[in-house]
Amino acid sequence: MESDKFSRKNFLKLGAIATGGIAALNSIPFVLNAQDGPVCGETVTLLSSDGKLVHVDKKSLKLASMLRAEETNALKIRARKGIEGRKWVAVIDLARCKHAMACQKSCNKNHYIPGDRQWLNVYEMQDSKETAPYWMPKTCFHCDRPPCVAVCPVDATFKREDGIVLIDNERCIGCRFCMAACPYSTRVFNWGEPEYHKELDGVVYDPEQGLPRKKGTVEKCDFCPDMLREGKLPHCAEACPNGVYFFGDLNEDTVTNGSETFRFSQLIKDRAGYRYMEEIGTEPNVYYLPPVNRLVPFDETDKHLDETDNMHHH
Amino acid sequence: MNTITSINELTKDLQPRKFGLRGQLWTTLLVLIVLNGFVSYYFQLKNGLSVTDMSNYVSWGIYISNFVFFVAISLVGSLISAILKLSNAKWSIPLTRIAEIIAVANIMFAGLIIIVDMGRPDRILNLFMYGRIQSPIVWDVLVVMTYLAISILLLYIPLLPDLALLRDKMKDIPKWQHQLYKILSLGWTGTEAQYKILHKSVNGLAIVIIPVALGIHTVTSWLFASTLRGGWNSTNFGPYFVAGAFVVGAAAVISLMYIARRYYKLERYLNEDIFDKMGKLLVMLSLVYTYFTINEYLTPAFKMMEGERSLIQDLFIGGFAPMFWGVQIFGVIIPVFVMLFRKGRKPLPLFIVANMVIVGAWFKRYLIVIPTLFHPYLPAIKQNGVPSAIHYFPTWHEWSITIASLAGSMLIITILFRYLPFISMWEIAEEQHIELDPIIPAVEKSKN
Amino acid sequence: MRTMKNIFSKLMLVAVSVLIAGNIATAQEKIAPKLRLSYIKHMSGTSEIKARAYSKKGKEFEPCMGVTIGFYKDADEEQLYKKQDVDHMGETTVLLSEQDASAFRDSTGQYHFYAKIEKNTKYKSAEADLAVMSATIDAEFKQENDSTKVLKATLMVYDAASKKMIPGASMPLKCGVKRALCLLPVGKELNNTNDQGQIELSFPNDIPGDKDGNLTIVVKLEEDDNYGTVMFEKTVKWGVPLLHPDNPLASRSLIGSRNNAPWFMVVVISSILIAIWGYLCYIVFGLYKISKSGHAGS
Repeated sequence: MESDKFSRKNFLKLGAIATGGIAALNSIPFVLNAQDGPVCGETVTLLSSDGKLVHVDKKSLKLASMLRAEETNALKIRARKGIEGRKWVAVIDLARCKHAMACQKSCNKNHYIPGDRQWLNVYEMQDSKETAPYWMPKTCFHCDRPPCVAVCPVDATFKREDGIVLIDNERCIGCRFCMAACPYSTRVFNWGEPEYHKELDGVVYDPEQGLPRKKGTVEKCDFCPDMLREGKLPHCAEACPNGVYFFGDLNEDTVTNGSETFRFSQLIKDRAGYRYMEEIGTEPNVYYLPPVNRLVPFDETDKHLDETDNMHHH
Repeated sequence: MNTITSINELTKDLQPRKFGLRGQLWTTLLVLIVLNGFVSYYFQLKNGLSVTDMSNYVSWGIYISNFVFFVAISLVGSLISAILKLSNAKWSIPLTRIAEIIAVANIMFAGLIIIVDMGRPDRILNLFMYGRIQSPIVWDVLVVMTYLAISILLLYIPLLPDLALLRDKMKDIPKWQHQLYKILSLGWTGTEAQYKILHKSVNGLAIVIIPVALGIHTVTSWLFASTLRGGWNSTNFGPYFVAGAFVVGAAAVISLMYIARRYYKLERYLNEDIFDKMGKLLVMLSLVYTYFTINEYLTPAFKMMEGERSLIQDLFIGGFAPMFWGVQIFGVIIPVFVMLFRKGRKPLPLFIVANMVIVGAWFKRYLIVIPTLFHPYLPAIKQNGVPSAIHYFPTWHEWSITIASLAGSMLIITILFRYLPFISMWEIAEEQHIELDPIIPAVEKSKN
Repeated sequence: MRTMKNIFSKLMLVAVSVLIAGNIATAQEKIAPKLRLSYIKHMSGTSEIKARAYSKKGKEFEPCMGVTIGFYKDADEEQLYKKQDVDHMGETTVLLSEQDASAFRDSTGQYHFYAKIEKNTKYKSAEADLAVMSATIDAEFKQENDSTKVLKATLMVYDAASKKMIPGASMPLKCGVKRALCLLPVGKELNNTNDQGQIELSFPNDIPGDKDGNLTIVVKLEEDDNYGTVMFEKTVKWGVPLLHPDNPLASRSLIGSRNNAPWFMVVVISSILIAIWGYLCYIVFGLYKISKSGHAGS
């Protein structure tokens, strides 16, 4: 039963492809032609990439699923282009974070992240001895001048139109130059054979999910483009009980944490938002709101869950 | 060089010889070490890089530092056969081939060890199919391949007259060996036209190899310097790497020429004067290198900027301090001190300090690559020291593969020593005005 | 009569399921799920019934996966309307045209929806039903002069007594601009309607729209006990046109793809490579000449 999760997900994508919701459809004319042919009359309702519910004939889906290679290809073209017209941005409110670690837990669960790595970390920060300590959740910053992308020898990690920095694990050669180049220790590596998950059996690789994992390649936080495509918040934001994570489209000047919505510019202005280590010129797309007027005092004993961060792959 | 009278005498001295027991044992040992490396690499291929102690923080280890070491040591080819040659330093003629052999063997293993470090060696062709010209790794691949090609040509072309000599003069050798010399000598007969092409090619390559050699090591330094990390984020790295490379390369030549002199009884060709000159050269190179070292560490240590401070402390007084100061003292200061004296530049003491320099240089590469990865910007280190998630000590697999690669390069040098004259016979003959005539077959003579 | 039958059938069901559960319990414990229905009416015509199946595991809700939901027109679950599989969130949505919807309407004007989790191996059965009345929202967009934009929305609800649509007075309406992940609120969080069922909001001038300045404005009554969710949506040119969307891939750069390398880099590196390798080919050609002259000589 569990395995339905992913087959359903792919099913949705197929639907998106078959209904021409994406630019990649040119690469699979066969699938489109199939729609012109005889139909079996039975339809399924799918969510297309632009968020609309559509009816698709089952037969065209079957044909599409036969063309796995084309599907992979289409997914890759889609993953490289990004979500049209968007410019994703995150705002992390340090004043609200009290190290509940629900974000990391949900991230790990939904991305099937094994114990030796984290896509998302919550660091204990203290800028100097006399300044106040605070918790700093850190995703990938999806920089506008990403040093990791600049150094990649094979275009395996790339910047998309919508601002997301993604990885094609079927292209990556595992040189780990991007890991050395990232000043934020964001990238992690599949040192050994990936863990087996029954749910991922037979799943077509999609760079937007980074699943199934590939041995000997780099991975990292991807801003959950599969969720964003469906108009949903990334898993960390969805899971956070304190509303720390805001996501949105900079072009629309709007960010939301699910329950509250703000004009991005207004929020940054009112709360003196900033980007971490602006001086190194990477131009992150993740903004922080300083840890002022905290509702809960900083308590180091809250640090209980991120021991996994210290775990090693052995 | 005292009185070598005929080409026959020269050939007899310098032609490759069968290994004695010691040579055979040495070769067997190297083969075993290499095989052991293959076994470890098999397990690495099977289980992935998880057999190493690399982790998400320390994501590069001794494979990379060893790669830098190989690139460094290979640079000597350009130093001896290009820079010294073009500056007309005649004393270095007997060293040219030794230097080129070192260059070829080590640059080959630089290429191999970087494949060993790859998570997906099966996708190596992606570099050519999807190569991004913006990436310093692609520059490095291009420049390593170019340097390898030039080094092979620079080794091979001046070998032609010698191969012809071996073809014509060596009688008691297996047929295959004779055949090999025959094929490789390309039917060299020593005509004026052939010599003209040879001289032109070698001179041209000697010029071309200088920028490429500087390029290979500078680009390798950029693999680090192009990142935003304390200790790597340096504008000094290119010249620093080049200077360090000349030091270890020169030391490798000294080490090898001592072994050649000792076991092949070549005191006449590799005389004390050459050792003395190489010693002086190594002192000079070491001092230039020391200048760069001071330049590299003094200003960051003076400023102690965030991001460099913890690294500098770790190197100077922290966990890496024993290695750091060990390298400075045993790899630079003591050798330079010894070599300042004439007696220190005698073959045996020079051989000993040269090996100290080589070992020091290997650990120096370790110190360039690994400590920086212990000190990332995040997780921010508020307590002095290193977060517990960050650790690295090479595993058995890493050691055995690394040692195998070093043994492999020595094995290639050994094999080349076994079958090639490691001092250029015809160049010595030319230098000593010895008639090379006998190698020109009678037919050719009658034509003239 | 109807309710009696309903209760009786439910009792039967309980009895049967106790019996079945008793048999199965030794083999495998089935999870008890919950089923929740919601109704969304789009003023454009279609409406949706959304079913969400989930179970409680400790403190957390887990979506039921791989189950089929049956949608029925009657409480006895005899008149099946449609069966649908849930997605990975345990959700499924049935789309209804106005005509489809009328099949669920009873004589009082109320819409009744019934649903249950169909028989499966992992979960126990669960049922849910929902009854809603019809409501409509309409809105006017008035631009009085260049700067003042006023949004006026009217909520009308079906009154069972008079069998007519009457203004929905003092009910909370949400108003906002449709965004990628949410609704950007305009006006207050909730705007209560007046006696005419109306709200009036002045609309800000600085909200970024698409490249033509289009904004999709939504007025909705959210999850009302009697009326469900009613949504009015309209696209108007009330936004600031987005003239130059930031495209980091537009120019050739260091972070560009392999096809987007800076020209100077391509030119410089290619010329160096061509020059050196050209020369090396020339050298190899020299070797060929050596070999030719050698063999010719011998």
